[in-house]
Amino acid sequence: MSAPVLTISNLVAGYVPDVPIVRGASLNVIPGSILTVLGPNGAGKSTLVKAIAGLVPVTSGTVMLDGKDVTSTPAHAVAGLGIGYVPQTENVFTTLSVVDNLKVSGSPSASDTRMAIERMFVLFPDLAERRRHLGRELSGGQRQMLAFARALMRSPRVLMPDEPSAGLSPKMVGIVFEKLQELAATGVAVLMVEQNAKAALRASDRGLVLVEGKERLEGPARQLLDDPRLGELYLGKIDEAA
Amino acid sequence: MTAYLIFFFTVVGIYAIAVIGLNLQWGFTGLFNAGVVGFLAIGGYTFAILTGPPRADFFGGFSMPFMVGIAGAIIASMFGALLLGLATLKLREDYLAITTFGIAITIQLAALNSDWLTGGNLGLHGIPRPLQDLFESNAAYGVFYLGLVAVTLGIVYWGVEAIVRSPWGRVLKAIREDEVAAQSLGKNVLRYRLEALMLGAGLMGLSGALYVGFIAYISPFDFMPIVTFQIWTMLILGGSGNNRGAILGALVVWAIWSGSGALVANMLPPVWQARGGALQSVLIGLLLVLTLLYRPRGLIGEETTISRHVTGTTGAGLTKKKETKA
Amino acid sequence: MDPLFLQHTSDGILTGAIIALGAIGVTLSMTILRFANFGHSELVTFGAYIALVFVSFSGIGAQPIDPFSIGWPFFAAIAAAGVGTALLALATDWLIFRRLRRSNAARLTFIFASFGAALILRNLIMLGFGASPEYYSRELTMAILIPPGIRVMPDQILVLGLTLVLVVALWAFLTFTRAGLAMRAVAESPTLSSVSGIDVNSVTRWTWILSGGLAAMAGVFFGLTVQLRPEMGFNLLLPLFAAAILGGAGSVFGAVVGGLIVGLAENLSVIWISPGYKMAIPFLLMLVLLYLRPHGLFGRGER
Ligand SMILES: Nc1ncnc2c1ncn2[C@@H]1O[C@H](COP(=O)(O)OP(=O)(O)OP(=O)(O)O)[C@@H](O)[C@H]1O
Ligand SMILES: [Mg+2]
Repeated sequence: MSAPVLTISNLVAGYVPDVPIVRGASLNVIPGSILTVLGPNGAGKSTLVKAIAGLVPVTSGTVMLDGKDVTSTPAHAVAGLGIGYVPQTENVFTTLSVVDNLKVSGSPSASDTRMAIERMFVLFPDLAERRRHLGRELSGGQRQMLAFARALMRSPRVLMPDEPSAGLSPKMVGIVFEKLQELAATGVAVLMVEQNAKAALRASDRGLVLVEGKERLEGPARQLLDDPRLGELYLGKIDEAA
Repeated sequence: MTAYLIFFFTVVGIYAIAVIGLNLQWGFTGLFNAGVVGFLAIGGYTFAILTGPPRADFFGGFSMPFMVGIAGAIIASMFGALLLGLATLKLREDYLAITTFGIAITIQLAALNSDWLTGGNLGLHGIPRPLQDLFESNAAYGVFYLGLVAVTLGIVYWGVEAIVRSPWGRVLKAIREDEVAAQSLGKNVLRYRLEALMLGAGLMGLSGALYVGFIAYISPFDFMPIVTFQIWTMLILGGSGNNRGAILGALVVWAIWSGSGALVANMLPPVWQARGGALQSVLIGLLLVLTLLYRPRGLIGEETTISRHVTGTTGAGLTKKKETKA
Repeated sequence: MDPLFLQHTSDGILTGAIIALGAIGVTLSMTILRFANFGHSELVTFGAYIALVFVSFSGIGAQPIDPFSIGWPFFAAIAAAGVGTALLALATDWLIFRRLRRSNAARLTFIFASFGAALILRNLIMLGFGASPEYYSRELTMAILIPPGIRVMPDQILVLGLTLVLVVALWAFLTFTRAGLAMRAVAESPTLSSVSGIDVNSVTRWTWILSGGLAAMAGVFFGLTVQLRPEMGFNLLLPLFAAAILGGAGSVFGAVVGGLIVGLAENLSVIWISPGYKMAIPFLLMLVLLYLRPHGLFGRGER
């Protein structure tokens, strides 16, 4: 097993001062693997990835990317450093064409951007066909692919999709998770937030359950799938057990 | 000096009534009316037309009693607000600001160009002041009029306080805090906002009428856009959402305005006099901006009578409402 | 066709072009800075007066270029006005709006503050230059007669040409450059833009620079073809907003068309109604449109 590319330690973060939503969460993501964050509604899963992406103020704790402290870096700089965040909603520019969505997410170098766009069109052939279409003209599945492609434009080391399967047809869900596995196989570390626990864990290497802003259960995905405590944590039956 | 003080406080009282009217619209309901002066003008002209002496070639000059003029002014302003509200209340907030601003300009243009009704740029003169015959001197009459304004202000203050504490007033605040939630409680948001707009406009009309009754004269140049800025600055500086703040704001801002005016008149050489007015306006602008930056809740902010969000040290919505994202 | 009608149409197109330049800035700030900037009109005024100062210093030896009323230094004055006004726009952002953004102020607070800023700026001009009208040049020029009897001043044609160049350049900038693309992205979603690696603060600065620069052009062109007065911008406020809203806030193309509609309506209205109401025309037009089409002629619904 290689060294983690992203290390979160005791992260505390929230939208307003004195109301922490993420309360001391720690985790590691390893290159080429998928870590899925599960948890009940309102547990702070989205807030956790937003804090890593630089969108939510961090009160304490650290975010280390490849041994470099990137805590409290502005969101646009985090994107440049190699963390690609895919929001759950509003994750493509609906008023821009597919190509412009990619271009605007690329690096300042025009030639790098051009090459990256070509890579994305190889990875997501559907998008190549619709390169001139506006974001809002895409179907749900195509949108999710464009959202991934957008986040991949800067060749990030870490990809963080927030509930990528939400609102998709079961067939599309399968395709999305396959794509993520394909990406992980190229060495990208994936930190994914999911509600769809079963399907997500089947596609993942490891899983983690976040409850009230803190990780409560962590382990290999296959093991978590059979763990009775998983369902109980969701229903709030286990209180102080870890 | 006494005469000046009486004059000063009369003007403050007249302004304060308009500021309370604006407070009803903005402070308690969150309606951005950038055309305050338009409603003052409607009230003032209605009053002048109803109570003024008849004259040839003019419509109006009905020589009606003072109280009829006041009532007419209030009703006309409320009617104006009804029309405006029906046309614009559904628009997004910055469009409301632009349209009300435009309405005020249009009203001023109408006053300037409708000679048959308003006397055009010459205005209407000789508007009778109420009960003037009963007083020997101008000074005594000044005291009387100040008393009249003070009593009116007292009634307005007391009335608006009662209104905002009534169930109706609480619905207003609920709408201001969270329109969607209020809507889901089955409240007809549009109707409440319209009512608040009309009530506030009625007070502005009253203020305009009292002003005309005071100076016995009206012209379009009494209703320049700067008046709107003055009244807004009074409300923001005093503390929107608080009627005592509204009165305090009227006092402080008018003191600064007339004080700087006096300074300009005494200190600047005559050739610069014309530009002195600009200095006064710069001061008002500075006052507004500095208040927004350094004291967004004003001198006395809103009493926190209702529950607040976590973010909620807001003064009348000057801070962003809590974002609720899916 | 009636020559009077044609004359007013030609005047309307010119006014419309100037309004369009200002309205583009209004539209940019409404969509990218996300508030209706009532101080924009004062940037127009400042632009005009900065050029005036420049012209009065460099006036010596400035032979007018026939058939225009102005000489070569005037083009330097235009550039100075653009740069100076862009800097002024940046300064207001730095002093006022940046602080409001940091304290997470509501959109309406920004509008209030822009009212205050407008009041300050307008009256500073009044303080510095007084209320009497000023002109860039007292040079008399010959009107060009276009059959069947439209009179156009050479300066007006120059202004129209320069406006066209500016609008095309802006369109190319927004369409083809990365910065322009970033501006469109931020207009749609600042959050998604920042996680895509766009520095929203830098886009904000570019927006002020562009809208300030264009406002200055509108001011200079107005000053050249009409006159300079401290309230020139203020009187343009409603036309600018009317044009931006008519065009559906957010669209440069819309702002240009909106500007032309407003300019034509203003000038043609005098055929039928008293010129005293000319100033109210753009506003009434806007009111009717908002009533019929709340999102403008070319606008889509708000998200
Ligand atoms: N923009 C915001 N401002 C303030 N509070 C917020 C904001 N977004 C979310 N919250 C609060 O933070 C808490 C955690 O929200 P978060 O979205 O992180 O949960 P989640 O685990 O992703 O839940 P879900 O499964 O519903 O997506 C909730 O109580 C929510 O109300
Ligand atoms: Mg979530």
